[in-house]
Amino acid sequence: MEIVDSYLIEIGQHLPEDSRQDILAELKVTLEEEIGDRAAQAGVEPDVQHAQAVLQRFGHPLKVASEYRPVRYLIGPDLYPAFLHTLRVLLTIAAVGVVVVSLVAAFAEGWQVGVWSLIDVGVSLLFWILVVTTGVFVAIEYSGERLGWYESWQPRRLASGSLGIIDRGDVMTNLVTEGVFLLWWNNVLVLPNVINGDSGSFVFNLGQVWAAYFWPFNVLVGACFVLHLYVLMKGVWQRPSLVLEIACNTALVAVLIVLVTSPEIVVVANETAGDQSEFLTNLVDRTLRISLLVISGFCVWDMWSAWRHFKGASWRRSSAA
Amino acid sequence: MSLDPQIAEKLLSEMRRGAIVLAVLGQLQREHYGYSLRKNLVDRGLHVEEGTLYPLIRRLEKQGLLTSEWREEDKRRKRFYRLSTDGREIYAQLMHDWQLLNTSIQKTTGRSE
Repeated sequence: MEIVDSYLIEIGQHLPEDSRQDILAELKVTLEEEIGDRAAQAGVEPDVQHAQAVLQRFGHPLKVASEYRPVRYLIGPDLYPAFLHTLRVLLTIAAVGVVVVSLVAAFAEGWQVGVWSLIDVGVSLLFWILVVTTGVFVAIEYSGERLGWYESWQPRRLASGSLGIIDRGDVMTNLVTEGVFLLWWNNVLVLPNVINGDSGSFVFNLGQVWAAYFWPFNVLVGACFVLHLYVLMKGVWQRPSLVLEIACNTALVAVLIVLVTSPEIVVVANETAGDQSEFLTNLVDRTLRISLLVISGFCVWDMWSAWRHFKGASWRRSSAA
Repeated sequence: MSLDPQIAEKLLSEMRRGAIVLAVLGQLQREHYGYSLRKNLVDRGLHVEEGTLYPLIRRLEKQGLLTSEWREEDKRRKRFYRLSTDGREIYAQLMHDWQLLNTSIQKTTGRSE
């Protein structure tokens, strides 16, 4: 029957070559018998309708063919968790590497970079890490090699004194924000500080009051950066890391509040904006103060989260007792 | 909260997967070709999709649990399968384990006689 032959040809396209003819010959006999049986039950000669009904039940040619093939993965379920873990570690190291190398280059050579260049470097790095890591894991999957991570695991390597699992997205966001801030604060990343109006451009800079906080910000945000990198690698909050998290955020909030209440946190570098000058100065000043308050809010939220981990841990201890 | 019917379907399919292998090995103590095997299983209340059964027979043959030969019957060339020596050994072992598992399940679910 022509429809059966067409069905078998469709299946045959997706079968391994060495067993194709054998499988198709067997399927042909089976299909013809089933069609014959179906027609015999109805007391008629087999026709296309019977064939269609049987083929419909057999299923899509691609699905039938796939059942004859061994299950293949690019990266299988055994390796996938290790793949994700490796990717996460490499991406974190790369992100930190970009910040550290940029800071070193800035201090040594006075190197600077624009926003788009930084994004370009970040995306390229991300792409290559993804490609190389995937390639390595596909090679491991296909070669049948195993990393031996699961077999060599020992309970004594577990992090002691864990007070809770970290929110990876939250910590990663903090890490990236702190990295970008450090680059900008140390004049590596150059952000545009010009507003172009109808009557000219308006250049603004941070006020003199910020100068006193150059090192405090570097130390505080740098400490947060290192802390979040450490926590991200560990995957859990521990007592010292929570204490440091609360301490750093408290200090940051204090500095930010002082800045918000300070006069002239923004100064105008040129005043070619004419009549709009006063309006734009007020606008930038207000926007910056609101931004600082919002950042303070995020810091308070981080402190609150850290405190909840403490409380959660004490609740766990009392319920265990 | 209503139960997702796909969950029950998936659990049933996982549970049946091993049982089908056992049933197929059991049936192939006697010689069968693909379609006759399926009819036998259906007659005994075990409905197995064609797309699952026929590739399964070939996998079992590849694993050395079945032997096969092409032969003519009713003016058609058909491929007949039966248990190999290894297949008989494995089948006996699986049946033994199946009985133990069945007893354990009955005990743990409180349904033992």
